[in-house]
Amino acid sequence: MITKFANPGKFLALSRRLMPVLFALAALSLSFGVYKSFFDSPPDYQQGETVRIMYVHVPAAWMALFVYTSMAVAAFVGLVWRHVVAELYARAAAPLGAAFTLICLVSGALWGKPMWGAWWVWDARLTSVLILFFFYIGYMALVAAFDDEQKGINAGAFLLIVGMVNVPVVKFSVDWWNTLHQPASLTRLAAPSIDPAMLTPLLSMAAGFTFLFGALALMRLETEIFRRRNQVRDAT
Amino acid sequence: MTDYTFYIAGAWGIAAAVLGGLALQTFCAWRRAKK
Repeated sequence: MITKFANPGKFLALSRRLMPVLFALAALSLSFGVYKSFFDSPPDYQQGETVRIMYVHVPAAWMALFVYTSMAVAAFVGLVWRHVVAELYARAAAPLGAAFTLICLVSGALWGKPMWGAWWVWDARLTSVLILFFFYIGYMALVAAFDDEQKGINAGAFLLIVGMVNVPVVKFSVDWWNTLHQPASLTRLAAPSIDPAMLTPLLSMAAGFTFLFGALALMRLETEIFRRRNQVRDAT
Repeated sequence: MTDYTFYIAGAWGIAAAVLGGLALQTFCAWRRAKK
């Protein structure tokens, strides 16, 4: 199936059907998530109303890691199998991943100031997420720096794969180091330590961000494919 | 009780602005490329 959608024409046919569905699901999940976050979830017993920042900060952080990982996997597939759509995916997804990382960093600072008394600390989690943001920006700059598009894509792919070393550092930083940032509340191995009244808006916003990312990534991928076709058309 | 409205509005506002702006840019570029 993956090789089938290496054909841009077949991919566009799939994308045309999938994009409106993802936009609709994003609108529904985000509306529900925003409602639950503000009107149907309790304030935290320690943090008060600022806990509502969690419903945008944590999903953005999850997306920052997920998007980078997906870009690195696509870059590897593109390098090894010369999968055309996979090669273009990383370039399409990079601004989206950078946006989620920026939202995570800024919302984190706005949460940290009232809670910790500091906009920023150089602890392991914050520093590694900042490095992740630099990897996103560095990737976009590197790919754009080449006149030869294919060389830029290949160079960017290597950068993405090397940068994967930072992803487990981000994830496990709160376990490996003594950090100000709190440890994970949701793990695969244990029941969530977070109350359902807070878990519902958190997961709704995460689903909304995921669907929105999917829809926008497809749209950006289509743009990349159209752009290439236009280049060929204009050259002939 | 401390008023945290600025921080909460700021966090959600930045998220909405960034994602909204990116969605708009994505849509405009897609429309332009499709022609």
